[in-house]
Amino acid sequence: MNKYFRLSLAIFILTLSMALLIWAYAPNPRETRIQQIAPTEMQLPTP
Amino acid sequence: MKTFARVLFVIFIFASTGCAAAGGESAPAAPIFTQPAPPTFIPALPSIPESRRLTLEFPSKMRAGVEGDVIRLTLEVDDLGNITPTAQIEGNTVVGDTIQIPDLYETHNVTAEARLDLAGMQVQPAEAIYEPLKRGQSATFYWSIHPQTPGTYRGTVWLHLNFSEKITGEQSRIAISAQMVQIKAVDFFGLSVTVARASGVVGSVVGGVIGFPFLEDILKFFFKRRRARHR
Repeated sequence: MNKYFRLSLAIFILTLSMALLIWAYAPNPRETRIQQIAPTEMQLPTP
Repeated sequence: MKTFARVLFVIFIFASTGCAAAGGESAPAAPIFTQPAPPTFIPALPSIPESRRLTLEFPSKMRAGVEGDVIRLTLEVDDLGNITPTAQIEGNTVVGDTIQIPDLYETHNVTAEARLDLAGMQVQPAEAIYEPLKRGQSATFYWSIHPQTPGTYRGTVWLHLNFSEKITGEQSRIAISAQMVQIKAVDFFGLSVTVARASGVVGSVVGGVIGFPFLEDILKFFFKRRRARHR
């Protein structure tokens, strides 16, 4: 009984630790937006 | 006599309606001669003769605490873009030649100005960033962000173009883009990144130590299964 308890506890601690490490070191999800700019949008302001 | 009165009445009615239609004036309206207006020539404003592509890259979700991330804004030349606009009317019929737009690079110094307004979050640099814009070259801007506490942060990424005339030094400025960004800073059930990383390392060691006595049993179990399969 003691043997199975120790094994269960070890698996639980390792699972929790792995989840913490994965969360802490996973790259952040990134969002990319692309916008086209025509030459007419980059002209001098009208007086 | 009755017939004469009726004729007089009809003449009176016609005369009164004719005056009303003429706006109360009995004089005939003078003929209006309209001349076609001469075509007005509107000179094209100088502009940058390149299509450009603006790319904004930012983390939509990140960990709060000591960890930081980067927001990148790039204004690059779009090689596939059409750089010679032509005059068109309805029906997509081209009625004019290519519009010759004066080149702004020849007459002005162009500077791209970018700014990130993000309330509640530590942003470096906090001020506007300036970068000269040359023909065919791209401009890239970076901001470093550090959310101290979990939450949702909203802000705006601004891009302006500043024009400075080479001869007179006259300054002008236009807004090119204002994009809203939303960044969610999260933690691990109240644990910050530092605590989570430290707990993960310590937990792995502790779990390994507790589970180590069973390593021999686990290996024996797998070797027994393998031998049984080979037999």
